[in-house]
Amino acid sequence: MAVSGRPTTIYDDVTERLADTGHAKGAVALWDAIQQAFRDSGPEAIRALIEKRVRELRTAANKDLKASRDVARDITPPKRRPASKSAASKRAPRAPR
Amino acid sequence: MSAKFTLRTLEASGFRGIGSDLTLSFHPRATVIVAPNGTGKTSILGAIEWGLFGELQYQPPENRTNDEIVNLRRASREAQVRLLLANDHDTFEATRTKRMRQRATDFTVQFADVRMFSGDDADRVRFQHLGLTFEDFYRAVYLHQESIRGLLLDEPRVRNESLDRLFGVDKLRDILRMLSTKLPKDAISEIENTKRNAAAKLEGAVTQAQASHERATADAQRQGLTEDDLSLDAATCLLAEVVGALGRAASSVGYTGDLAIEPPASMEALDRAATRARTLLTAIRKQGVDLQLSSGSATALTNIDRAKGTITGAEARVAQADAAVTACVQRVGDADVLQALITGGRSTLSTIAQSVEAVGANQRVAADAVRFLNTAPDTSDCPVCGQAVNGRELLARLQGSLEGQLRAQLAELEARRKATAGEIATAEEALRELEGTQRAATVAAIELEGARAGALALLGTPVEPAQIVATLDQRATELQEAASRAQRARAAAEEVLSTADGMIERLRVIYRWLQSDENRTAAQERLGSMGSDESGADQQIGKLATLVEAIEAVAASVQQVASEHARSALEQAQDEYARYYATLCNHPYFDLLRINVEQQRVSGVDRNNYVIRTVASADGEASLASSRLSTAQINCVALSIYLALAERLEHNLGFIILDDPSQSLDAEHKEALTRVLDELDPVLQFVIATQDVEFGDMLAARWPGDASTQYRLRWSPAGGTQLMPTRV
Repeated sequence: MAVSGRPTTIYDDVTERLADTGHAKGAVALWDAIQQAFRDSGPEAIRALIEKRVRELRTAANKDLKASRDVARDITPPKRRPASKSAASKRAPRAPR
Repeated sequence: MSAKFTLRTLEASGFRGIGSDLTLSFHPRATVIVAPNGTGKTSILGAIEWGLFGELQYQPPENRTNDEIVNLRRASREAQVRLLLANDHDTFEATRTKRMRQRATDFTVQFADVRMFSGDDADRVRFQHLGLTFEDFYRAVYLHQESIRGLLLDEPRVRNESLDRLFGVDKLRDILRMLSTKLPKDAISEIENTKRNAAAKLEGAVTQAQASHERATADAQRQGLTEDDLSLDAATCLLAEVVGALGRAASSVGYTGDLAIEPPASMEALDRAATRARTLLTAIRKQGVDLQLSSGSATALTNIDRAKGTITGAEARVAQADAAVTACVQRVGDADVLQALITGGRSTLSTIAQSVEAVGANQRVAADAVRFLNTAPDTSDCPVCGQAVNGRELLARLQGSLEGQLRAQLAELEARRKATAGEIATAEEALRELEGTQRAATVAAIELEGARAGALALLGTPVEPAQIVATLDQRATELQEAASRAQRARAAAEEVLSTADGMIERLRVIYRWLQSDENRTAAQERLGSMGSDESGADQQIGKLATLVEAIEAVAASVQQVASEHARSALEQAQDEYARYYATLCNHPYFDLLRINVEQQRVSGVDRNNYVIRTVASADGEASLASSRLSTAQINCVALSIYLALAERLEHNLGFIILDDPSQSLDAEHKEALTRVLDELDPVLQFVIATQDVEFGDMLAARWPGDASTQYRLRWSPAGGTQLMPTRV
């Protein structure tokens, strides 16, 4: 059997596969983080890991976009609120008796 | 004996169901533990698994931090497993210890020649000597009852998981389950939407900024500002002029406050400087007003006029009162004369009253005598003095006196009283009139004193009463002159301030122009950068896309490894599992077993999908095992795969562990299983746990006498699992 006596684990096999197929270092690094998280804390840790990375990138993007919105807000004068109509003016006229 | 390591002894304490110390010696060929459910069979098998690898396959990784390993009744709060393994030429003892609430375990490996390793070194030595990983151990050494149980269920997902477990790739399956790209893809979509909204807002802002800049430019043109004037440097020069003008105005009105304005180094500083200049201008202007008010105060002039008028009025009233007193004295006389008249009149009235009283007494005596004589007209002796009297004559005389003389006296006295009383009343009236005029004169004099005191207080200096009015006039003149001077100073300052005001307004216009220019530029630059790949959001989108690619690459690699492992194992063990299936299952028609690994996409991720078919060698008819085979026959499939893998996988462990392998098997199949086990490698060591007494008896019959060791277990809350050796 090919697996007999091999000094590697299935995790190492995946690492080798990623390296062999020429994937970017990012994929290998991600796999390292995933297998470590899985070994430490189980499958949910993988979800948490991906969520954390996505959250970080999304936060950075939103921060950048917020800066754009802030520029727009600083330039644009605030809109005036329309005066609210009183209850009396909203009320329908009373029907004649 | 062989080159492969077999189990010699197990010492366990505080491990899961094993409370007190437990020592178990393994038979070189077969050790069978026959015990009811819940007495600790799986705990003993798990002690071997945990003692060697520090893991339990059926303990979820996320629960590894809890204390399921340590027996809660163990006073030491410590779990320890010691395994003695040996082969032909070597013996080593593996010891693993874990304390309650401690995640890490202590692992040591000690050889008979006292070489000792711990921690990572111990793990390395264990691998070197045993030649297999934990996954391999689970594929070919330890057939857990849960591995069989999952295969017996009809649920394809559970069955696939069980087979993945048998092929040692179940953890890759767990990982694949979590490798979803939905989250980063959703994030990309969300960021792109947000970016579109932000770009729309920026475009609107650019339009507004442009309009605002055009208005600022128009304002600048109205102020006569040229393009050269619209800079921070030009504004700084203009501000210096403003400061100079403010200084001149301040000196005109005597403003002593701080006039310093810091030269603006930025637009914000320019805005602050303009605001400060405006504040100073207002303060100086107020100082001019205050100066005018304080130097020629209208209030002070009014007060002087009022004081002067009060004194004049009071003096006139005093003169008038004095004249009235003089006229009154001339008309009615002096008060002393009048008082003497009144006193004399009152004395006269007293005398008259005494006279009237005396006349009255005589009148009463005469009347008494008349009344007596009327009653006794002929009286000859006076009843009072006893003298001889003529009664009738006396009566006539008395009556005449009463009617004439006494009455005349009384009338005269009454006339005198009336005349005297009239004189007194006249004198009293005159005296009252005189006193009234004198009081009026006194009041007028007091008022005059008060008016003079008020004026003196206003002047603040001692002045002769006669000079007060003149002094007041002099003071009023001085105030009017000071007011004129202050008005001229204020007018001069105001002229300078008006100029400064215009310059400050120009500063404001310059600031607004610079501000609008900066806003317009910033918005345009921001909008321009949003469209380029250099923007932060686009970079993050790129990173998220890279993450998606990385997840997909990892998922593909994981699946490829899982698939290749399973496929490779099946290909290489297919002869063995077919042979074991034929022996164990002994199906009269479907006598062949074929297992294929296919790819199944679930939630966007490919996973191993095992298709188990039974084939009839007679006519080549094939059928899905799950729909064709009974539960017991499926168990035979699981046992076939496991035994095939155990046979094919090369490693240095010379034992296999079977946990309740006879699930659902009838006697015939159990017997087949014992036969298959016995026909395996003759030096292979078996550790078998079962709750099936019949199967235990079959094993005892298969390996009678000293050919095996059989244990019974019992469990108590206090002691946990306890061994009852039963040699068969």
